[in-house]
Amino acid sequence: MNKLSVIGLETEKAVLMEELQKLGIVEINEQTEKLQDPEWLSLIQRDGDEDRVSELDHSIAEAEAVLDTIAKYDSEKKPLFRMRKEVTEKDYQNVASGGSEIPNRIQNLYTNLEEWNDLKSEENAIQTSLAALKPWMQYSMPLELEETRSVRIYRGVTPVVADDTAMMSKLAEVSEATHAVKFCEDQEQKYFCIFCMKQEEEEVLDTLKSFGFTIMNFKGMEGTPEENAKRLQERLQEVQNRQKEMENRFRIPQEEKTQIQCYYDSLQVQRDRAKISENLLKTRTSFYFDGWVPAEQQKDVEKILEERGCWYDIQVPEKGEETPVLMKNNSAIYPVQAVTELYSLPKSYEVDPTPIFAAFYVVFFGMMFADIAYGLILAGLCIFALKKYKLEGMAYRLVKTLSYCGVSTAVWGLLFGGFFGDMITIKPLWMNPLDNAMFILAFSCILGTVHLFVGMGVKAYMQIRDGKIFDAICDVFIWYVFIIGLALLLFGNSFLFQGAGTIGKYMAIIGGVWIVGCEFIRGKGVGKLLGLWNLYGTTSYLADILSYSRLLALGLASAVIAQVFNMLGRMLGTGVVGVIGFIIVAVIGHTVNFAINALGSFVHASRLQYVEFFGKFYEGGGEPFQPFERKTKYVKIVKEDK
Amino acid sequence: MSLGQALAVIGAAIAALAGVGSALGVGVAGEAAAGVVAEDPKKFGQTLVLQALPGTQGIYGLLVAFLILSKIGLLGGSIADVSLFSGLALLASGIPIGVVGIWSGYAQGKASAAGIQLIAKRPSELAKGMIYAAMVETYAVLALLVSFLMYSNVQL
Repeated sequence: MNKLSVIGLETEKAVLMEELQKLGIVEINEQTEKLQDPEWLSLIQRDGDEDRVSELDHSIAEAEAVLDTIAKYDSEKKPLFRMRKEVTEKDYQNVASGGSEIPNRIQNLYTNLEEWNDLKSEENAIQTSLAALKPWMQYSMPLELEETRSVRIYRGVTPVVADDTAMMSKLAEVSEATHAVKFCEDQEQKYFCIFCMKQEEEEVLDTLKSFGFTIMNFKGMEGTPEENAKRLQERLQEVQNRQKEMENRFRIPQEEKTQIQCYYDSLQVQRDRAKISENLLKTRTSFYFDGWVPAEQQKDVEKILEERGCWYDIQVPEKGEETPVLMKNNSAIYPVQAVTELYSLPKSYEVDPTPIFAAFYVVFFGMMFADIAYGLILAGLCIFALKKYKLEGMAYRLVKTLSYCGVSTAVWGLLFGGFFGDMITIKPLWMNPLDNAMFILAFSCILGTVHLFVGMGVKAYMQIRDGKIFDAICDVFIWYVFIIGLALLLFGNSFLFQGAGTIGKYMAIIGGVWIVGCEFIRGKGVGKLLGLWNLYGTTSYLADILSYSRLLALGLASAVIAQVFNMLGRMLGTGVVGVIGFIIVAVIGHTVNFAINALGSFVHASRLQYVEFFGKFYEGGGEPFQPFERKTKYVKIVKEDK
Repeated sequence: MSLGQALAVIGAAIAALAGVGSALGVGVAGEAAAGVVAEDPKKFGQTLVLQALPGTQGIYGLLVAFLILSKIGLLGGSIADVSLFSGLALLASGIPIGVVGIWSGYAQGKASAAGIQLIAKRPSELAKGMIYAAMVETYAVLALLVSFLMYSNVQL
């Protein structure tokens, strides 16, 4: 990753930025620091066009709303994974700068959408009015009639708990001339109509209020409730029809949808271009920016910069200077980068751990899942997904990694002899871990030790690279001697050959003395005694190594649970019923076991990398390289076939 | 049925108790997941993955219980002779996963619930939430291993 600084003429800026965006290999830095530096400030000011950005943002929001609505009424089957449609450069340019046809179409659809929203709220209002009118259907007088010359008419409700007989008798007490009718009651309210003389209005109203009576308002309604309801129903029908009509306008042909999507993406690209100019500095006639470019690709950038007559400078970063990180691996290892990315990118001066642990990851996963059938199913599903969907980015990397893991699972299944557990008895190529648990446990720990040693080796490599050879010996190589010595001392005589224990004893002593001694040479003051504490670090190595026992334990779990389901299925007896029962139990049981153990193997294989392996040397926390490029959501721009 | 056989059956029962931890853990994680999905239904898949993690203790318990029961032949029809001490040893082999399963399942459930809160704010950090929960599971895996080694070295 090299550092790039560019000065160019304002007149060339628009074309240059477009070309750089198309190329997509330059990261353009923010310039906050220079903008605070008085020396720079006297010469330049911040570039940027906020009006253009917000104008484009507005168009993007509209197009997005339209696309969401189209998706709602779309008949096209939604794929499991999101795929970008491939569009040629020429077609993309046609849509992006192809006159006003598509923008007008989007504008039209957006107007439709707004109308649909208005209709929807009208529909809601009508539904509310209809619900309010429902209890009054028996009321046969016009609703706008609230009084005659001498009579006042109240229509209203009381809460359902109000005692209506008491209210009626109280009313009769207060005024003989008052007439009250109860229409109906529902779960919440009781509905009344009251006629009273205008001169007694106040007393009647007071009485009514003491029972919690509230007057209902029928503002704007003319005629009887029934007439009103009929009118509203008609209008509702009209509104709903109109909505359907609007909805139909969103059922557009796929080609047109693709065009709108493509246009949306082109808006997004333009917006990014308008936005990036905020990272540029400008004078009256020139501009300045700096950023990063991958060293391998800087030729392409140089070519463009020269064509546009820019002054530029490309520098190799200083030692220890942090740069954005772009991991580079061959196509076989590339997918496993996903596992590293899920943890954290390496710092720019660190080693990319992916190629080192990729094989371990796949082997560990397979050992914990270990079943021929499960492995073939996993690999098959992944390969199918890769063929059927054009996966990109993280999804592609994960699925591809899982397809490797599937193959590894099948291989371990062959070695351990498992096919859906013990559904078909297969003679293991190596051995059955159920009968040789202790051996496989030891094997897991040895495999783990190799894994850890490789991790420590990377640390030593980085230390030697930085010229700290003594540190590499103290922190890594002497521990190799010490740990192997301890292992020989404990297990050598009984498992290897007579005398191995004695060799181990001397190795452990040499290692131990050196570990304590190292700090006497390196340390200062009390730090000289740190070696004793370091010796205590043996426990952490022990814990790390034993942690690999999960390779055996999880392998057993997936095998034995599969056997449990087979056995449950066989308990249903023989004959047709037994076979059908077995199939049902097996399908459900093995699906559950597959899902849980695949998840478990993925998580634990990752954990062994993250905690045990990375713990030995890896720091992480690098900033990902984010080039200024065409970030498209729906379409993928491809080069034309020639 | 002899006392030895009965003791072995009790051992299987204790191992299966690991399911208590899983039930508690999955429950706690489920409560957190429902809260997050209420805000954003699209996170259902991610939260489900985290909710499933504390479920493994119950499975380990089932595994050991099944192994013990099949060793004494309770599942196969003819029950084997189990001496008093073999029975006691099989009982003991059920204890590690049974006891550790209960607490680690519950604790893993809480770590999962916290992981669910994590993806509510940062959906891209699912893997980290999973690793936190898996750290707890290590101890259930170790207990499973101890149970299995005890079980596999008991001679009837």
